[in-house]
Amino acid sequence: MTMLLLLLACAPENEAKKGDSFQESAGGDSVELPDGSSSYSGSSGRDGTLQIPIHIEKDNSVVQVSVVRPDGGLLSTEYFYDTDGTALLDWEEWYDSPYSLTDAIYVYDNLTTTNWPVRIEDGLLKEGDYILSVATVNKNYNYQGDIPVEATIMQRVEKDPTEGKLKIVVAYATGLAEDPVVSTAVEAGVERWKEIYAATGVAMEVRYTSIDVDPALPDSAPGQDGYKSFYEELTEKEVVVVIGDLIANDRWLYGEAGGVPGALVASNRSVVGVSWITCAGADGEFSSGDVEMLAETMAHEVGHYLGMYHPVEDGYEYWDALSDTVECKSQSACEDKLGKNLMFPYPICETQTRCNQQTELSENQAGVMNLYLGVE
Amino acid sequence: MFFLLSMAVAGDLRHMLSQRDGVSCRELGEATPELRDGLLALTGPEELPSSVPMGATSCLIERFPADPLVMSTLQGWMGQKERAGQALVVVSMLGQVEASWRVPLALGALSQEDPAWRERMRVRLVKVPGLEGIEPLLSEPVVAAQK
Ligand SMILES: [Zn+2]
Repeated sequence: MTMLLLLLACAPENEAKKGDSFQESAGGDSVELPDGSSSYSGSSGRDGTLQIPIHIEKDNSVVQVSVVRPDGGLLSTEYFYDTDGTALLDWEEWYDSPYSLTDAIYVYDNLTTTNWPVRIEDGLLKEGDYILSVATVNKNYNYQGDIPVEATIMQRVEKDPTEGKLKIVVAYATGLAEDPVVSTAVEAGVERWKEIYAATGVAMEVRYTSIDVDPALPDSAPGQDGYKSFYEELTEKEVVVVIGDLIANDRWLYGEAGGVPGALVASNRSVVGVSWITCAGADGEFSSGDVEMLAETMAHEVGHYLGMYHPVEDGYEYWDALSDTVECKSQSACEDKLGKNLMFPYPICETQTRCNQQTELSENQAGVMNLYLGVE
Repeated sequence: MFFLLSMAVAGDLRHMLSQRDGVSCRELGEATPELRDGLLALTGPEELPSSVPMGATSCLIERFPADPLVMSTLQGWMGQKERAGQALVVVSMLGQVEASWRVPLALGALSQEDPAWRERMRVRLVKVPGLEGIEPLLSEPVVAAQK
């Protein structure tokens, strides 16, 4: 996150039995949009669940569905069903698991984003009719029925899950684009970031602009209205990286992603926030090591946005759901085995001299990145 | 004994403040003198990773916004070149500081030698409430010729 450590309990009053939801009729209205995506509007049933029909077109194999509650209430994704009714994603399998696959299953706010497949081992989609089941809940996390929701469904071809192109827009908070200390370091950091991602087959196309928000950024989640209105102006599927002074609503951090995975639709948290001053450090000037820290921070946080978790969480009791990132169980073992990984939860430094580079990514981590809908 | 305790606290704090995605200042523990001293021990500009001195500064402001020892320590280095980044953090969070300390800290930031840093401080200070007494210092952009 910045990972959204949002393990809020979903304690339904009238929990639906697994599989029941698939039998229920979806209803609602689907509309094809000019850019190839489609929208769906419907309401949850009396049981607080809604089955959204997802038709995967011929040759397409990756989908991202973002579902929003216009009333601002809470929702989450419960299941993603294959064409034959098999649950590809079952929230109950992952909810109390020490392994993390997607934040979509957690109740956080009025947005839930599912990108499928997450991992190469999840298998590509094929032409046919899938179902995404979402739950609308109240503030006590009990199911809440008859709630309107709107979904945006995007899909694409995946010819080769080892390569793709990612579009990034770097947006400077008010005044920072005109500060050469910041812009010079960010541009150098982006070039370094491109090198880090190139090793995974992800080529980056980057453009720079400004966003009219205060440089003292709020947490990327819940974010702010300014992020939503900025995203509404975008004409392409870009990941937005906002450069600010700091992100300091009761947290202190290098950077923070607005979701794992992040959405490619307008919302208050459709951004990755990065604090330039935290990377620059106490003197506020960028040494070469500080530029590396900035590059790795942008790469790490966007890595979350693309769907990657830390290979191990600090505490060493929770891991990502990838088979080729070691399941280490102590600080020393994890630093030894995973300390050079880009997604390791903290930089490892020789006190007061230098920090080690963290740029490695496993084959399966690269797979997650390449299967993100925005990596085309 | 107290020194050793502070060192142990500082070790845990260093790890917590090293997290790439951050830690809530509230998660650092109760706002005790031990936490304060542990955080103060980590504000040295040479500390790595850089989130350690920066986060320690931020959490001192959030958790001890009226503590005379904290505020006087911050005031003591607001004008130092090697602390310009930390001073910018203080300026960005100045609205959280107890009102009587805002003007002294702002004046410290505006005493940075480099005009580019003074200007960075100024544009952020104009948004901070409670600096009415030094408005003239904030009204005009800092240019090199004024050095
Ligand atoms: Zn992270």
